[in-house]
Amino acid sequence: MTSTNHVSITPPSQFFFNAQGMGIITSAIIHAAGILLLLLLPAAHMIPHLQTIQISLESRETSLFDNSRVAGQEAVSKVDQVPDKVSLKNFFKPVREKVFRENAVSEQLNTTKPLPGPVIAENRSLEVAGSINAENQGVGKAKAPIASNTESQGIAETRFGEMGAPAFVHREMPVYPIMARRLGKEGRVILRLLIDRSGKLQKVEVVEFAGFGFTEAAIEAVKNSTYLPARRNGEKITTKALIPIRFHLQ
Amino acid sequence: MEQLDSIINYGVLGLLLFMSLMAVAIAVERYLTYRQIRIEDFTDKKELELELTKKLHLIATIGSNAPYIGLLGTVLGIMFTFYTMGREGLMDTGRIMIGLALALKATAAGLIVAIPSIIFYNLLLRKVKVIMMRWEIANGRK
Repeated sequence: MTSTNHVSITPPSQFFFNAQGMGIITSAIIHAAGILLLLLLPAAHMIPHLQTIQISLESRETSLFDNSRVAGQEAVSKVDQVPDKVSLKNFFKPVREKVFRENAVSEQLNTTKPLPGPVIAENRSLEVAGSINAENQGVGKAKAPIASNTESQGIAETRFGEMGAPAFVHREMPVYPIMARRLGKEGRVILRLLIDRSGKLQKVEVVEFAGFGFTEAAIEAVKNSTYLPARRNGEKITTKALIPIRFHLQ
Repeated sequence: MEQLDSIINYGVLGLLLFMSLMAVAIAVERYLTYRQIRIEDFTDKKELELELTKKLHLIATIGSNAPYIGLLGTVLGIMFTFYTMGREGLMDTGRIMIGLALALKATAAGLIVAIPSIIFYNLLLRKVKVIMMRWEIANGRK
């Protein structure tokens, strides 16, 4: 077999550098420079940053849950918002969508932030009652109990979270209205629910109205929930209970 | 299911990066080789051809396949986006658009890999032809 100068991998000795090594090194340098340039380029402004929204169901005066449990109860969905300065790093990250079903608490405790404590604290203007042992809900904050107001027309007025007030058996989380979310609106709705002795919701009154579909969403959620009746002195009574529902973007 | 999205994303991009590295490395190496090859060393035309065209096919493969790999990444990404959104029942068009936009980056990466590869391949092919013809001129038309 004629052997002129068959080169398999290493080229003939007249080369000063190994051409193959040179090729690999050059290629690596070019790619490293290119990637560095891409990552540092501020032109990635146009790529919006995906952020999370949290719908929080909590009352200003009372909260039925601890802060940590509230975090687990929130429905989180992603929406685009005004882009802040982001590097191209985010461009290369895969798009993560985490939307949680309303009652699936277990999954998202590590990803959602618990609602900040100070916000609840500063909004609490009234004294709040003791905790209620509802079935599937955590213990609320322990406070001094408040006697129910004097009866008006034979029906006691309470708030959710007070001692002896009605409680949720199944709490339906309201759906954050799409229009409001797009416009970046937050809101608060206060409803007064008439709950009879058997725990059935008889009537819903709107105490504080909010636009953009918040009220309707809150009413819908409240209608799809089931309740335990209120008790005074151990016996079940009919009550009208106030519940504030706050829609909050984060 | 989350990891599937990450796997697709990083896998496709990583593959494209690797292919690009390979293509540029081979191109540079071949170019240096062509610069320094001596026609007198070869007595047989076919041997010269064999020697010259040693790794060119890889560049051609990378150049022609990179867009398809990018397309595959995009399609899988879009599939995944639609599936996830369909399952959630949330029809926010903004989110859909963002998902699609980010999925298209795989196609862009594929094209960025492919374009220089094809250019290098054609240039190197031309150089091969030139060297072959020089050999023919030097050794008569055998």
